[in-house]
Amino acid sequence: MRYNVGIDFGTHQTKVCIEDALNKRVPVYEFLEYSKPNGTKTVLLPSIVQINKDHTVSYGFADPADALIIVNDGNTPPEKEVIPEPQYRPIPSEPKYESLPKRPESQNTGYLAVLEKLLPISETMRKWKQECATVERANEYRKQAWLNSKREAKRANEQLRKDWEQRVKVAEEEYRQQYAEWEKDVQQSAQMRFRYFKQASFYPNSTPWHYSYAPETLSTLYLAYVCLCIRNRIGYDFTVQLGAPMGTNKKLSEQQKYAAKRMWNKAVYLANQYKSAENYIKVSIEELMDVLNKFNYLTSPSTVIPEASAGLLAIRDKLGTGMFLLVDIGGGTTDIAMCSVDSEKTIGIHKVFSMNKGLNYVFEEYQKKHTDLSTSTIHNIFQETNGKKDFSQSINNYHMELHNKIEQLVNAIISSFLSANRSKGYDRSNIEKAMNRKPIYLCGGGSIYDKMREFSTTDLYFSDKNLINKFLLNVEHIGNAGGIPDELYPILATSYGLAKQIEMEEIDEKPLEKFFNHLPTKPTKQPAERTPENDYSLARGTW
Amino acid sequence: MFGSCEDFTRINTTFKLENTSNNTLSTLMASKTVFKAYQYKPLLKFLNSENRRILVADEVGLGKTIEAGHIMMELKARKEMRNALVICPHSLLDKWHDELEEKFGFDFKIYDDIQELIYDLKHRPEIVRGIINYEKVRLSKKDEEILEDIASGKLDANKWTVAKETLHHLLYYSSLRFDFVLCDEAHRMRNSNTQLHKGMRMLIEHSKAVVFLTATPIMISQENLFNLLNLLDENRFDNFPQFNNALIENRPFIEALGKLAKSNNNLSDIMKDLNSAQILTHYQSGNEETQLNYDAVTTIGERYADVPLYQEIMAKSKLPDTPQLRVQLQTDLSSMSMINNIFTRTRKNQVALDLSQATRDPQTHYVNLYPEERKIFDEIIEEYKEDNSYIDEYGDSKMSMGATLGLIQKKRRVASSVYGYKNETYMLDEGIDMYADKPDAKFDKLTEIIHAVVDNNLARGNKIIIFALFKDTLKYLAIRLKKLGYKTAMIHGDIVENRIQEIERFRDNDDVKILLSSEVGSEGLDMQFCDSIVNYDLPWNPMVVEQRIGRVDRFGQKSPIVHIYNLIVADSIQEDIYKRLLDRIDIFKGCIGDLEAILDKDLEVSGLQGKSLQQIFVSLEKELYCTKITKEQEQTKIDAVAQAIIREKQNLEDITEELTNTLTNDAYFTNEINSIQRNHRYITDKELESYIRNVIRYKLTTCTLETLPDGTYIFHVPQDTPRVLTAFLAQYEYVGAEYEKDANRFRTKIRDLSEIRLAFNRDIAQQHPGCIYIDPYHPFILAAMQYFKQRNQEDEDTFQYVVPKETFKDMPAMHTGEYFLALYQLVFKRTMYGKAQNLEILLPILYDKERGKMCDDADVAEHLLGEAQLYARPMSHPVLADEHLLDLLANQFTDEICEQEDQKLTYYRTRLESTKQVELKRQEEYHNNKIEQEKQTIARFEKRIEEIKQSVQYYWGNYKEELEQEQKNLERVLPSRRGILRGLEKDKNEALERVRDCNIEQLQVYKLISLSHVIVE
Repeated sequence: MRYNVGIDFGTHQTKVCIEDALNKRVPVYEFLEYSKPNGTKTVLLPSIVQINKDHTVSYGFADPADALIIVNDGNTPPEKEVIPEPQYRPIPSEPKYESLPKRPESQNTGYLAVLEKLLPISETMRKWKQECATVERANEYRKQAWLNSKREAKRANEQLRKDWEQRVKVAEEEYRQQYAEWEKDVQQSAQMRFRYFKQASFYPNSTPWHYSYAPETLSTLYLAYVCLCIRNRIGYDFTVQLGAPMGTNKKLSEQQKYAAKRMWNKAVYLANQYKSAENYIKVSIEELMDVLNKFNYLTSPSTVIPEASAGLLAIRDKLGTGMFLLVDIGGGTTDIAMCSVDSEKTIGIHKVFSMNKGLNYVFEEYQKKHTDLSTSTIHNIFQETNGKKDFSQSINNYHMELHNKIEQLVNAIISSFLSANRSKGYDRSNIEKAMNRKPIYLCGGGSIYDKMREFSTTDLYFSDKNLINKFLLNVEHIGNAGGIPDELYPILATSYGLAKQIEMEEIDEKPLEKFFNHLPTKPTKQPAERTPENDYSLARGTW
Repeated sequence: MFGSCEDFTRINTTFKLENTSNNTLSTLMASKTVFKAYQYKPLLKFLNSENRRILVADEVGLGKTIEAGHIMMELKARKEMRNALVICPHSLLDKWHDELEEKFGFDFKIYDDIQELIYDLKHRPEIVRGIINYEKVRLSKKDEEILEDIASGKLDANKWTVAKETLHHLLYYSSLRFDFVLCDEAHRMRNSNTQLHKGMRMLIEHSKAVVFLTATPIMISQENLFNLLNLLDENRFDNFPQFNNALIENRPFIEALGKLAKSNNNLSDIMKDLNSAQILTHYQSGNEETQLNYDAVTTIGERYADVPLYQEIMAKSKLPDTPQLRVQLQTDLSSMSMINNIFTRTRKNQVALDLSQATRDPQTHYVNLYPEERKIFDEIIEEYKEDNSYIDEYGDSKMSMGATLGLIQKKRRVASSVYGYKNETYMLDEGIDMYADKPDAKFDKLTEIIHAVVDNNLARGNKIIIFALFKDTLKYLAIRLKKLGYKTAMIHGDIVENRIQEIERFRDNDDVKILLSSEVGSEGLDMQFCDSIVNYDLPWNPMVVEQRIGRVDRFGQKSPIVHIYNLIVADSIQEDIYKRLLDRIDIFKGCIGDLEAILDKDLEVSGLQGKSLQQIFVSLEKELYCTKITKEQEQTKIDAVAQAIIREKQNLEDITEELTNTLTNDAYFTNEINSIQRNHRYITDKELESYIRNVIRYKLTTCTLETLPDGTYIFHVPQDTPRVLTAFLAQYEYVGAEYEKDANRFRTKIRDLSEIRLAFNRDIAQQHPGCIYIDPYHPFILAAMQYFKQRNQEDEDTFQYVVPKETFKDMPAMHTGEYFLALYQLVFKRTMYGKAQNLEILLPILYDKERGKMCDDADVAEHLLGEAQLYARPMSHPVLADEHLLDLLANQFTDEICEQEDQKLTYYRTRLESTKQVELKRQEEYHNNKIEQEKQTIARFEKRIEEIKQSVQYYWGNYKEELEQEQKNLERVLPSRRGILRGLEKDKNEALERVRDCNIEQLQVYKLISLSHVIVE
């Protein structure tokens, strides 16, 4: 096959990257472009399906005014009680330390000067050493004071958060019950404009869905449209690598992978029926449902790849051996993956944490204070003020939680390492060393904002924050005629990774016992051979 | 499978970095200088010269220093300059040191002590880069005698012992060779019998590349020039008569070159003139008695009839007249000249556009001192320390040296400013003017000027520079001006560190309108943003005046007029100096020409003999200030000096004009430099950036290179492996002590940095001083080159990419479509006078798929190659190349390159053969003349012996004895004369053999560097 297509099916928007590997040494990548209603081109297709008044279906861009509306019987659904998040105490930052006094110029020369470096033989040197010791003591005191206050603040915040979470949990349980009761009474429906169907398709248990069209059906319809757009661009000669959310929970992962395959196969079946996107968007929803019902088994060449690792595949060449974190700041969620790369450049994913907050959380908090503003206006304000002013409290909360999650992950790693390796003679310092100053790679729509990336990494070991941007991705050959705006690269990284043809062995979910394989085996100490270079007693003759 | 355009650029850059190809310049844009095409001419000539020797004789002010810097930079980039020596007059040591550092980043050391240089040469000869003055290379009389004794076998070479080692002793006994020797103001070596000349000869023999710089290669006669050229290349310029004849022959060619440059001259007329130009060949040998002259009058056409290149030129001149043909003819004609390759001269009128075009507008204000001032002034000026004087050996009244200087200084100071002189320095330093209530006539005049210039917007930017000789004068003026509400900036010898800041304050701060400056401290500072100066006092030496004006009247001055205000105390010696001397020689109007050369020349005029004008100025001041003479005497003396200057000026102009007409005319060289620039036959900043990106792609994969909006870059090193870059630099460090220093410096600078700010562009680097400037021989680039060379690159010689059509705006031959571009390397070996040199040429060949044939315009292929390195991008929709076509092309390209190779070889051979022919003819004439003279002498002797033999029987007595004695003498001398004759014949054969042995041959079979499938769209 000449082309390999990576589809990053996102909660908010879908990105498609096409690899043209005719000349294997110089593959060219093109991000599929769609026309916006105003005629401009974009590489981001909103994950929206809308059933219109005329019963046709629109994908991506659709005027909400055209949406079909089914009116319910008048009972409004119960309101969800909003429990505001507590105001957390800010974590104090590390104090400025006093620098050591300057070493006085040596008054001696030659042998004495050398000796002076080793022994404080002169009065000035002795005095200087004393001054140094005083400063060091003061600095140590400052550090301890800081660590104490930090620990205290953290403990207090943790308590606040726990209390709040408890209250939220109770409130949500209440709401669910109320809602279930209300739902029994009414024929639920409203504007036939659907979002979040991807989330619901992959996490059916945790995403409530009240519409008569199943999320998987909507995802299928949407993917069929995407498939037709791809065919429109490059014909039929391609394979597909589809990204899907797959955690480290094996059972759920299997289900998600299967769901993704099923959806894509159905989508291809649909696409085969209608041949072109123009035809496809003229068909009524009823007819589409009929056709889908007739679906019989069809496999189309496709591979499903965990989303988290796809972003990593995009920067695989940039990864040094060892551990690192991937933080994908999306709209609705933030995914944190703990990964490692071994000397063969195989990427191992050990643990994936998902956090139920993303960029939208910051916007929503803002909207609570400014109810008259639309989401897009808030987005603009956020961009213009670079996340300052009224955003800072919510960003602070977000960072706090992110920091906690990472800390939990790090602690989990440390304890699992210790329990698995204690017998081999490793201790805590080995794993600390392996994580120290290691990189954190940031991607996703939220990561493009400076403010969102400014979370503290002190005491996390992983401290080298890197945005997966244009320079890190270094996509050498881009087929898009107009190029790609620089700020979109962090968002497109996953689809670019998916478009790269890979062998499945290149990524795997590493069980714990293999996760630390990249660490050097414990060296057994050999007594060094005695040579004149390291043993002065042998060299004495030459002095 | 085809490689990408990045790989294509990478292999080309690697090739340019390590290659010594004759038609690329690695460093075209690398120095921190403003690009001026003509300044690369000496470099190109130098690279094309057979033995890496060149005499740069540009007119003053064209930037010979920069030209020499370009040569050094290119040599360094080609890894051919490890150790180097710059030799210059003592006064220029610092200037050379600073310019090489600032503009070219070279770290040279000034050696004040020859022993220190010798020590360094002995201990680390490969990295010595020194600047020394001419004194240090002088061959001592003692060493000369020893060397002569060794040469004649009188002294065993091993027995040359020295108490303190000399440079020449070291050179004689060690295998030390200098990679590069530069001689500034080379005319100092013009006399062949000086110890300096002899010392330099030995040094040059031990040097691989030599550059001479001088604005005045000819001071007195053509023999001066010959001596310099002989010093540079003994083989070519081995005797003066030949050189002289060659110059005569050269003249018609130079004339033709000059005419070719002007398009209104008819091509066939030019050639007709050349062909029929008469030349006189003249040789002379023997003494007055036995003198034999050889004179032949021929025309160029006759003399060159069987020279192949001449025939080619004549044939070409019958073709239709096009600009390309003219350039071709210019190149051909100039390669007919024997001194073309070793001599280069650019004249101001050839590059007039580059220079300041401002006209000088001098205005002189005569100041009548107020009575009180006049009294003080006259008292000091009229003071003659007669009690300190003594009568010297010539009977003249002289003053002791110290007293003279003290008095002169006193008079100069009071002439500069009466109250500046009266005030104590420490008071002035405190900002106190003790005579604040006294009116100052000169200052009042100055206030008028300032008022007119600054307040009434007469000057550009309303700024003015006031020059004075003394710090006290400047400080005094600052105090008085401050009182009037003017803010001033000040520079003089004591202000060292803030000099630049003061200039910037004057330039950038709108409140500061006035700069007070002395000459000490203002050298080297550019102030062309200002167009008005005041000479508050009057330096007698025209050179100082010229330097003051030169601060504003120089390249970069945008104003059409430069205003010069002179303040002269009326009715004083100053007035006479001004009126009778400075004004007469037109110094204020800028017509004086090469003042430096005029003042430096030893005068031939009676009464002033043996002294240079510089020296005369010093003694003139002494005489006028320290001896009591009448007004008439004073004026006569001043007039004499003025006349001497004017005469010298005329004299120098005549010689220069005459020699320029016979030496060389290579203005057309600019075409070649422009072509290098246009076709990017140098390493561009974009290539350097791409080179670093390639290292990141293949080796430093965890690093990133980020572009910032201001054109600089950030190189990110991952925090967990902070040493990854330093380790890379250490692993692939370019071997050689001279690179270690740079590499260590760079490694220290970046150690433990996770973000390194870089700039690849010279101008951007200058705007951002915090950036590390990456030039083509930066340790990072060299390490990258080493890495790429060691990396195993399989099938990395075929590439595929797109080049946008808009890069070929002025090339109608290029159309959109598919092309195949092959890049070949050709290597020839040229042997000249026993020295072999490789000629490497990069040759692109282009196949046009649409037209189904090779592209026959070589410039198009060159241009495509250049553009591809900068603007190539991958195909957005890759296509496969037609394999059938590729097979076909393999044959076609082979045929084409073979043909091209033959053509090139023929091209070089024709030129070489032509040079040989001309040279053989000259050698033969010269030697034949000598041999003929010797033969005639022998014949005369033989005839005389025969005469004596036959007539001796008829004589007797004393006369008979005399005859017999004469016969005996003659018979005794005859064998040795025959020996001389045999020697001369041997010399002739050897000389001819040396010329005949010059040769050019193919050194290796052409080599394919790369093949690219190019789509122009």
